Amino acid sequence: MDKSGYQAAIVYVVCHMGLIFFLYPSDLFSAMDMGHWIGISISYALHAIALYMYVKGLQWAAHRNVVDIFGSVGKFLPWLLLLPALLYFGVAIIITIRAYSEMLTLVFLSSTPLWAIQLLLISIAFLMAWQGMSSMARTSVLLVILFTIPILFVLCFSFQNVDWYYLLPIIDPGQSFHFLAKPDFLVSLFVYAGGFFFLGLLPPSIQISTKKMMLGCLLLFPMFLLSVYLPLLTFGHATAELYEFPMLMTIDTVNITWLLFDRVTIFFLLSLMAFAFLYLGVTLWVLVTLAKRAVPFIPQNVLLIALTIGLFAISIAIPNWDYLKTLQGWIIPLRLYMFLVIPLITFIIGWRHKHKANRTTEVT
Amino acid sequence: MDKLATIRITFKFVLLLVAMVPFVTGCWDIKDINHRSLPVIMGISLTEENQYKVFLDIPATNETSTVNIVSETGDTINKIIDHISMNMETQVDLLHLKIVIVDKNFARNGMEDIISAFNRSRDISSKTLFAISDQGLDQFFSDMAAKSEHSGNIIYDFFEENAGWNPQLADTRIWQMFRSIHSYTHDVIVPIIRSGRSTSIECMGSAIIKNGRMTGQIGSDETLVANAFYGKSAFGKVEIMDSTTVQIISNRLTHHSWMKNDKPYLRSHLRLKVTILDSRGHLTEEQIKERLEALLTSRLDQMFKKTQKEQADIFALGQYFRNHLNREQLRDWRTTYYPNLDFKLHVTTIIENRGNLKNL
Repeated sequence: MDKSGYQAAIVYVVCHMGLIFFLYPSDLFSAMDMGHWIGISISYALHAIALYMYVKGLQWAAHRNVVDIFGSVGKFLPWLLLLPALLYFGVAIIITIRAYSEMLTLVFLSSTPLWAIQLLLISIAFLMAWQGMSSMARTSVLLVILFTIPILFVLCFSFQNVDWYYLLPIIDPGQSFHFLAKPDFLVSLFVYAGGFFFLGLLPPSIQISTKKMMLGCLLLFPMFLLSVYLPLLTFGHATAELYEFPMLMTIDTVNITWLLFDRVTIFFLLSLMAFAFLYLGVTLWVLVTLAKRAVPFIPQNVLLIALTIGLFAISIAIPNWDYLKTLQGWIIPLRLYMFLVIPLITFIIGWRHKHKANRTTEVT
Repeated sequence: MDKLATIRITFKFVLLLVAMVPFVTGCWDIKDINHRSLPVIMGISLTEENQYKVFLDIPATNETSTVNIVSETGDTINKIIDHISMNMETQVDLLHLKIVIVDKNFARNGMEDIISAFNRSRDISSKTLFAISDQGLDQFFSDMAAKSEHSGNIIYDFFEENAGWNPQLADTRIWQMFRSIHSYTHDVIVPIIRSGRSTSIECMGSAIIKNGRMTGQIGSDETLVANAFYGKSAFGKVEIMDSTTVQIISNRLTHHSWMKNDKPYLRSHLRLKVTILDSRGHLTEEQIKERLEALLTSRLDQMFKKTQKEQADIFALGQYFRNHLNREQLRDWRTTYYPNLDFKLHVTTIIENRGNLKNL
């Protein structure tokens, strides 16, 4: 059996799993009243197309990383194109650290100060990024083996309190597409954007297979649907939109009398936190790899330490949850750029590269 | 890389890991189990000065007594808990709270605030059961304390699905109450209990809760029908005309809904599978079926008329109109549409078996 390409696909799936179930449902509930599946399908389709273009572009450009690919067009183009990426990933890490630490204090570490959880999150991400991509890829395989069963178990049981009538109406006659321009909807794209950018920076030892990437992508679709529809079917839209973390509330309602443990939420949360750690690690690694290209004269380790301390300082400086929401709003243009423009440019450059290569072979 | 550098890096890593040990323990949240008290039941009532009075039933860990009941009055629930915590040698931890009992007077006044508070603070599990006490909570808890010689968690067992729960009892949790407050179409029923004469607890039926306020009351037989509607009636026993008792084995419900001239119509079909337990006077199978169907239909009709008058949709019938009404209209479901609802229930019963005896 051909095993190449699995690692990249697994890292991709794990990174997204760590993101989907937390902030996404609540953002989508505030963006849409009805027909949530339309919103999910549209953004998912865009995601799949972007992923395909990105992977194809990379492959056509024959195993070089994004920075090189962009560099082949001009000298200042990579700077212009990748500076937003640098900024975006910095903000993405800050938001993730801050939001996840807030969630952990809400769910079970009620008296632990926020900074301690943030420090823990960033230091684990730091350790992962320090070890490099190949070690993270191996870790992701281990994480999948360890945590798939608890996650699937909890997901199956969370259908316990489902009322299928909340699914109706499947299509609202007056359905409009105004939600596409709503800030809340654009914020919800957080889970789709940027999670696959790392593919362009992979070392040659980790291969990418288009087929396996698309399979992984297909696997994520039910997860996007579940993260929104489980709370919706349990509570109904009117109640679900009141919760900060609808998915966790849904799992809190699960009552399994024969299970030794009272609340299964902890299992779910901790499994997904492990996935989120990997996301943080990968993002930090992407950030360092990009920064290394930008300032090659500083050693990578020094850069990593400086970045970690800087990001930690900023995430501590964020005063409250509302501020975090505003920050999410500010980076909407950056997010759309990461989500749609970068894959498109990669695709175009890769395509040109391929044609040029074809022409050269024809001539010779 | 030479050997020395490898050793140096390893050393640095070990140092880093050691430095992280304090965070791994989560030492801020550590609290010994014998420094916690874990109440199982919380009682809340309103005093005459409009303050909350909170009772906590804490199973004792020492030999002499089995249950500890503490109470305190104050303006907010959290403040009271804090106060109790302050005056006790251990810290009160609501993580394992199983049942919240409120008194009838409080339930009539509206419980929206405390339910929102429960959902906001994550100390209390959203699976916690809700019940209403028919008598004053002072009386109720002192009776409980007197009767709990053997076990501290009688009330908990009473509601536990694996122990004392019957389909004649409503089973409503905090998250369902919260949903009923915010949902356009769902209302709930909550069991009404009091301390009993021979048994520790007696069930008095269920309260109809609309938007967090108790608006009416139904009996325990009617609760069974309501539970059948929710699909939770299996193993409930129904007595027909003082002569026969049947047990429900399973139930299935189908609905057909439509709108005509802005008036909602709903036809439901309840299929019951029953087994005969008791038969006095030798009725034929046909007679039993007929009488059971008539009995259930009339019970449901009565209950439906009552809730329609109170505009409390405890059967969540509005759910079946999600396809016919838009969100704005659903918002007015309880006030505009539900009172006009034309609802007919058709009951079919199948007698699955007659137990060990061949004929009746």
